[in-house]
Amino acid sequence: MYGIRPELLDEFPEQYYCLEDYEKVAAKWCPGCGDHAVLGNIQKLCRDEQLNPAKTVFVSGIGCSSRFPHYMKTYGFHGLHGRAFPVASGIKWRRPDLNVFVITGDGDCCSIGAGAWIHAIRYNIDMTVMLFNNEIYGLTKNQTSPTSRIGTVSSTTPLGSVLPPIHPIQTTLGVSNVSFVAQTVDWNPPHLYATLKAAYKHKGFSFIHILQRCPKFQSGLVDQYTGNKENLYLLTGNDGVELSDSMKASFKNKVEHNANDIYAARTLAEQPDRIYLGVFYRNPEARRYDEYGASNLGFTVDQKISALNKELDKFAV
Amino acid sequence: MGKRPSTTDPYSKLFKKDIFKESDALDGTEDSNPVKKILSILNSDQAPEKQMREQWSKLRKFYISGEGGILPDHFHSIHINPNELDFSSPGSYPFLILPTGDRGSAIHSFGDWLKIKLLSAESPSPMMSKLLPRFVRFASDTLGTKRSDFREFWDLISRDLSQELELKGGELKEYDKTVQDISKSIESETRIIGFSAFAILSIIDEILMELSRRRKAKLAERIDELLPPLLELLEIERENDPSSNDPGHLQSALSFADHYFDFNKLSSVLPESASEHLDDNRFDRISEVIRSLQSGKDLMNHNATIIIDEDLFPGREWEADFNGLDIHIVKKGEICQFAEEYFESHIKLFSDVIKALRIARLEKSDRYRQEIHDEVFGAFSWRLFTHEEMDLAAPVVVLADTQTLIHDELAMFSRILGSGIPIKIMGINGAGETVIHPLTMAMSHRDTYVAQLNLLDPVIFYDKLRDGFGNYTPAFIQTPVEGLLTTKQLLIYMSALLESRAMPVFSYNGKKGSAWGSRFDIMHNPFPEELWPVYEYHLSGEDQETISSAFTYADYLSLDSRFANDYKVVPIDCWTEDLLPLGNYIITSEEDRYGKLPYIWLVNELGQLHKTVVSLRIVHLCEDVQDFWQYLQDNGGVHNFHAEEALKNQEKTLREEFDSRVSKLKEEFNQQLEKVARESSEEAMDNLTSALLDLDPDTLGMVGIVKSESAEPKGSSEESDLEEPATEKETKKEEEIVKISQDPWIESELCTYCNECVDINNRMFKYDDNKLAFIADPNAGTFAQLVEAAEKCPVHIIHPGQPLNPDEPDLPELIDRAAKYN
Ligand SMILES: Cc1ncc(C[n+]2csc(CCOP(=O)(O)OP(=O)(O)O)c2C)c(N)n1
Ligand code: SF4
Ligand SMILES: [Mg+2]
Repeated sequence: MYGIRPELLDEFPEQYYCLEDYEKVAAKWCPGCGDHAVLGNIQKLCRDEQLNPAKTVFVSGIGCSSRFPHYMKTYGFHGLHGRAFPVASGIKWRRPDLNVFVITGDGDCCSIGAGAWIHAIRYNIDMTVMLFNNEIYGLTKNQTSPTSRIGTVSSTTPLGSVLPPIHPIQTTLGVSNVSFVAQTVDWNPPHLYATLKAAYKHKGFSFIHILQRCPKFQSGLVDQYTGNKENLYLLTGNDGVELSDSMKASFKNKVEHNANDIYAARTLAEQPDRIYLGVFYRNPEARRYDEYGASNLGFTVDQKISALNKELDKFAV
Repeated sequence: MGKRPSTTDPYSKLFKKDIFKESDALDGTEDSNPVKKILSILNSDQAPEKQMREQWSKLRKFYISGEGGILPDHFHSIHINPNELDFSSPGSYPFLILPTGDRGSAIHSFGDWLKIKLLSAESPSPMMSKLLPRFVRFASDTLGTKRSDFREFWDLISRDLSQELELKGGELKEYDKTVQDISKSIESETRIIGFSAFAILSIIDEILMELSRRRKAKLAERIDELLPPLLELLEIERENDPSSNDPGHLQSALSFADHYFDFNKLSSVLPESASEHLDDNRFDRISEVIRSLQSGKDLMNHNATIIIDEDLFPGREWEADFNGLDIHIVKKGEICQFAEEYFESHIKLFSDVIKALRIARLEKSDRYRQEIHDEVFGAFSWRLFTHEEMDLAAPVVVLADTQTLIHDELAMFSRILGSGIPIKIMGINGAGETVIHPLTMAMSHRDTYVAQLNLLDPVIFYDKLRDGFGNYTPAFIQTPVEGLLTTKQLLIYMSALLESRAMPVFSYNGKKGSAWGSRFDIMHNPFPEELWPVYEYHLSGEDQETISSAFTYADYLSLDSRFANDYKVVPIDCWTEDLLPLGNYIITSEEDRYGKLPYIWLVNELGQLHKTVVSLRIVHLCEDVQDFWQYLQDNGGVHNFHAEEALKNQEKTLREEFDSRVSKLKEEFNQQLEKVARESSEEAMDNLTSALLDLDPDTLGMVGIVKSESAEPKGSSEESDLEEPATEKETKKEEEIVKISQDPWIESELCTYCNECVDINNRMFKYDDNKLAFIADPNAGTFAQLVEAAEKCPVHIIHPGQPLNPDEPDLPELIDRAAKYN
């Protein structure tokens, strides 16, 4: 009004984040490891959604994949083995303004962290969860994990494993109050990206099972995965991920699936030999525990201290 | 142009005494019930020619020189006939200002308000509805010219009126219940204001106080929103302080565990704080902002500032008018200067707070960029405020005599209007002066708010004033205030000002759109589409005759004793066709005026009408007033010259077009008519012939042959047209594919960002902006590297193509390996 438009000065420049704003150091995963693909696509997602790095936090447990937060120029919490979920829940509960992502491995999540995992699904606190399943303990160099298929030879089962594996999708779909379950693979970046995006957009506990190649300790699986396009089944239909038509066309197998139907989702989950790609299940109505916790936010430290003192004063003698 | 008389007389003397005499019907109390005088025109034969000629030469002399003019006692303009006027206060008085409304507060006339209350009551009381006029009258009389807290006032008048009415039993119950219900529904801070010249001061005060309340609330809200997060930032910083790891600090914090810990050792193993420290600049900046915000709270004690011309209503107790405002009385000649300096120094304090708020907002979301914002905020001033921020600053209002502004302070006055400084200047004029000059001058600064207001309608007054005060530009608002008149005199005077276009009510809002017309509002004047308001009067007598007369500026001036010699009553026997009503005379061209004289109607105390010639000086003044009014009309969208011209032209072209089309159509019609007449006779002949000769079968066969001949060659040529290019295209496509497969390429979309290829040769393989690998330079490495990358790529999307360098060793083997990936 008085000559210069103030918004030009005050808000300028409206911060635009580019990929570099999310990149920290070069990732120290083996060349050819599937983790790289997820990292790259997460950085793209952050940029495309223009997430403020100062308002974004990546939480992980322990494992190769759990090194992820170190490579993001955002806040990060590289926690205890199997305990990414409790930490992430606490963060989101007290700081609902933050974007929370969780990285966990098959060992981290399905073995030592299984208890926390089940409850995190039920709590349905708003966060985006990526389970990197390479069917092995990578960081500790080749031990059988709960998701390793029967017959896996490793340093803990030199004669081959004997128990059938846990199928994380199946497990997740079995927990009450489940709200978002999807599956993707690291070696199809467009689908990986689209799935990450769908999960991020979903409000609640968005669980993505990522089949991840470990060329170091599961090299046998790599060719089986990438050399064969026949075993990928793209889920199409209601409430799935958004893919371009050309990408859709590149999949030979397509299966029509209603992502709002939990029974249909469970039926798919009963067929672990087929790799279904897309959203198995989505329920935006599921109850969110964080909405019950965020009632008394916004107090200053002073206010909190004085409230505490007031309580403690009651015990004064 | 006629010179205005000087203003040396005290203005109470300017007005003709008798019209304001308190004795006669002016009192207008209900019981005295004045006899309504009937207007009449006395009959008379024409005077003898000689007498007539003498009279007229006197009239002409008077017209030019003013010589021999006199406005006799008890003669008044037909429009300002005190015997005819019904005196109560204007309809909207007394009025209420309620603290809540669409824009923060609202104004209602007391009568309307009460009516709505009674109608919307849960159990409407018919008795109370009947009492409504009584209530309004009683309130008006009790309140007089005062301003009062409304709830208190309501309780008072409802009690007094109840006593006066001597209500009993059920009626009393009904009455009490209704008035108590209403009393409960009155919000605190509601005011009631009576009719007086100074009611406008109350309106100014109420608006400023109301703006102030909202301003404080907004400022407090914004400070409370932004201060705590900053305090928290500093608090975290304190916890981050490296000294919190020193043994002494640890000991004091963990003293309960004294014998378990060796604090020196503990201190040496404790990691540095996990978070990054604020840099010193940021720390200082935030501390500074916190200080400013805390001082911003002090500013909230300040309401608005009002700067008053020392010579304006000397002796008036301004503190009573503007209780709570910051009042400065300033000598004439220094008022505008003072206002500007005051504004600049005062706004500086606000600008520090606004700046702090802006920085705080950026800091809160960590968006402060030193390289940009340091410079911006270094040069921050109130001129960078947004409208919302301007609202947070306390307004500065000037109250001065318009004459002072234009005679003593013209340069500074104009400077403020032109500089964009949002000082609100109220030009008060008394002494019956019609002052047009400062209004047109103020509008010529364009980016201003200019208005002329009249207190007769407090609702318009309030709305326009609020617009002006809230507008983010300088404002000049002129309004007449006649402090020494009685209520009834005031009513006549104010009405005459408005009706005669002496001071039309209008507003010009420089911020309202780029089209000039859209900035004007003149619709609150009587008959805004007319030059002058024209009224009809009934004459006595059987034949129900009426006369209509324009309420001109000359009618208004007849109130002013300074112009008493500018009117000359024409003896009835000298009325001729050469007397023109003033309203017509003014719009008559100079030539056609020749031989004519302008008159207005005056009426004496017997209700007899007299044509009265006015002097040339008055005609000039009328022309001046009319000219300004037409300027307003033109801009206000009534009788816009260009629009009317355009309309005329448009009409003309349309008519021409219409005429030419009509004549063309007529012509065509006639031709058609002829043709039809001709053809129908021919057709009739044909029919007759074919009926007689029957049809020729050969004609049909001919048609069939022609058709099949033309169809065949056309069809075959179409086919060949299609075939040829298709073959061409296919060949092209094949060529392209061959060419592509010779160059190395990557299906980038499917790249997994695994670093395999980039690790082999990071000049040949690069990532694009989306982290997808592509071949940046196929010549930057060997074919062997390309083949290796194709083999290592976990998703098999690298296609090595054919070797570019024919001299590379082991080519046959490499081409063989590459074939699998091409
Ligand atoms: C409490 C605890 N127990 C065991 C370990 C050893 N440990 C480190 S990583 C890991 C398994 C990680 O496997 P996974 O989660 O699949 O990650 P990956 O390396 O495969 O990505 C184990 C058992 C540990 N760090 N902490
Ligand atoms: S060991 Fe496996 S999972 Fe870990 S970085 Fe290497 S390839 Fe990736
Ligand atoms: Mg693993």
